[in-house]
Amino acid sequence: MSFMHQLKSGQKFCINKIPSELKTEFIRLGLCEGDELKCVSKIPDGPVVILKDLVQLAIGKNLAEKIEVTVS
Amino acid sequence: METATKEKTITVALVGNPNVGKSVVFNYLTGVYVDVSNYPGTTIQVSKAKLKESEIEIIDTPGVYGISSFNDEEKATRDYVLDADLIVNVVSSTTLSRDLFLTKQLVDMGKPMILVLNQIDEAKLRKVDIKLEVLQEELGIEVIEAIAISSLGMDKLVRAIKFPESKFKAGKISEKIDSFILPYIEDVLTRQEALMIAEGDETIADRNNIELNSDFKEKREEIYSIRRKEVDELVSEAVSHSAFSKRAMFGQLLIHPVIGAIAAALVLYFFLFQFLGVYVAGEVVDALESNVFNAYYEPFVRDIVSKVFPIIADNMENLLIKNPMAAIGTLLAGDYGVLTLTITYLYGLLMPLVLGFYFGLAILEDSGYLPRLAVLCDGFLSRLGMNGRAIIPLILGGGCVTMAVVTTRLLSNEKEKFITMALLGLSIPCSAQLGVIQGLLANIEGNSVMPWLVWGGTLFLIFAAVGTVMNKMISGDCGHFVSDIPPMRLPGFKNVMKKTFVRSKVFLDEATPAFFIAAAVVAFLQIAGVLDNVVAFFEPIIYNLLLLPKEVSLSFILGMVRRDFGAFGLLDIPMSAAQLVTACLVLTLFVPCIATVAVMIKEKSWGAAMSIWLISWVLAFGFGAVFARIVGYLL
Repeated sequence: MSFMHQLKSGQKFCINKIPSELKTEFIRLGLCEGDELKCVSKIPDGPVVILKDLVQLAIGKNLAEKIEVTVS
Repeated sequence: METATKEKTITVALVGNPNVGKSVVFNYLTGVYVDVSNYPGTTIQVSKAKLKESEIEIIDTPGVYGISSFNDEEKATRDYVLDADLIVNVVSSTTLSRDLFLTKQLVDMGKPMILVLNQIDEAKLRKVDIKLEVLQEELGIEVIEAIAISSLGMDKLVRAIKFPESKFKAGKISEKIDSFILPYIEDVLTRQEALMIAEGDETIADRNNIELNSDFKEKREEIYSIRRKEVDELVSEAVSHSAFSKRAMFGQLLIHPVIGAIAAALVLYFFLFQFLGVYVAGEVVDALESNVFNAYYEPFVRDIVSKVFPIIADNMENLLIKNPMAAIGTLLAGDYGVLTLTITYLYGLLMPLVLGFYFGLAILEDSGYLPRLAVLCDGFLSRLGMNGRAIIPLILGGGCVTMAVVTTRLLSNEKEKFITMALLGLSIPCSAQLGVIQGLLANIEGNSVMPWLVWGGTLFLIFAAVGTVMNKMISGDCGHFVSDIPPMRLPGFKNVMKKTFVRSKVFLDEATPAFFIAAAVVAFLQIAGVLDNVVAFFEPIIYNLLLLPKEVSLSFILGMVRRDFGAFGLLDIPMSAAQLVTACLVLTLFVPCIATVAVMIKEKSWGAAMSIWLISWVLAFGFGAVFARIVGYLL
């Protein structure tokens, strides 16, 4: 199992689990469990930037650490 | 109800995600300009104005991702949405999968609405194809394509608001979500409130004396998930796109860990050192001062004043009693005269610097660069107890620290706010001071970049050290960082100019009276013979501790009143390169000005403001004393 902050630039992944306290915020931004997405950039010790449709979202490290993903 | 609506004026709320162009639409509809910026939180205050040539009221609401009570902006927006007769929902064509979540929520509320599909040029550039009829059909509302910045589609919007076909049209409500609302629809007046309660909005439930079920969070999640699915389906039906464009590639490079960092350093160097320092503070200000103010304006004013009052340059002891006429003349047109020095500083120095700073900032904002900078800095800032979002107030601080302290509102928690405020007060010079300092450092003989690097580097180290210590001392986490990264775009010339002028005007309107008061006080102290005593009081500290000429103490006294005022005194004092860098550093670190302290008290508390003020004293002189003794080895 891996978490979102461990992704590398260019990897495609699937969101497995978002902790419940963050779910509503993420759904509104467009991220749900089961979504297939792409990581477009990863700043060392910083945020992960992911691409959904054409929206790029940066997610801070301390949030990304809580989101379970599977790299495909 | 029927009769009531006839008499009351129609209200139209502009609603949408942050940064989709609501304020530009508002500007077109009403002719009123609101500051338009590329980050959330800009529209903190709600603007209202009448639609041109009509009695219809238009309200510009803060940008939100959904309607509920998660934060202050949402609460404000929610209440305006509930009260509005018509919603004009502005969405960006490039981010539909995100924006349509709010749209569907508004549709489910049963509000009459119009959808404005803004920035369609951006979508076309990126080869995104949007089927208008599909959106219209599936949402059940009128959809207008627009490029608000160039007024495209705006006349159609005005017609749709002024002359609706029958009455304003509500959209197609989701059947799946409808089943969640039914239990409440009998208890509450309106469908929109019923939906809010079904989604677990505590405020609306309270207003209707309804107790929320214990599982309201699960229910909200269920509704949101259903809506998300519906939005994703709608998007896949209505939107098709081909591969990434070249522009997107460029935007991508700016958040690359290595290339992005190099780009950020170059941006700082060109904006601060080359543009603000060498060009504006150096060439423009010099030209203005020597060709206009010192050559024509000041001699002209002295000439007129001296026809009535004598002007005296030294030997001021007891001047007020000995020679009141000369005292007035000196107050008006002496060395620190209200009509001479103050006007020269305000318009020959402050104005070009402030214009220069806001011009650069507007370009950075409108190009979409700032969110990328936030991404790059997030990791570093989170070690200092803040997060990427704090980059916005920190950069705005370079314009005016007072205004920047107000925008710390957009930070989510108290720890972040306090640390950001403290670091703003301590280490961020405001535009005029920044400009003067850039000018001083860039024009030290030889025009080498070394003094600038030493100043910037030391400031950065102090910023990092103080932030790290505060992060350790204050308990709590830094808030979450989630930010969407808008595409890079070419800034529109008109909008950049408008922003530059509006912001500079706000700044100068505030600075002008403060400047006159400060100048009058100094001129008065001078003719009362007190100034020399005050300077003498600071002299040992300045001379022995910081190894600077004693005249610099005046800069510090002025700097307490207004940050920008302080730096000006430095211009005319002859100093070595090492002394100049020390003076620039200590003045940057020195206390925030009176206006900033007042805003800190308002936004946080007396205790917080006073501790920041006192800490600035200690740190400025402490770091300054050490720096003065090592700077010689660095240059």
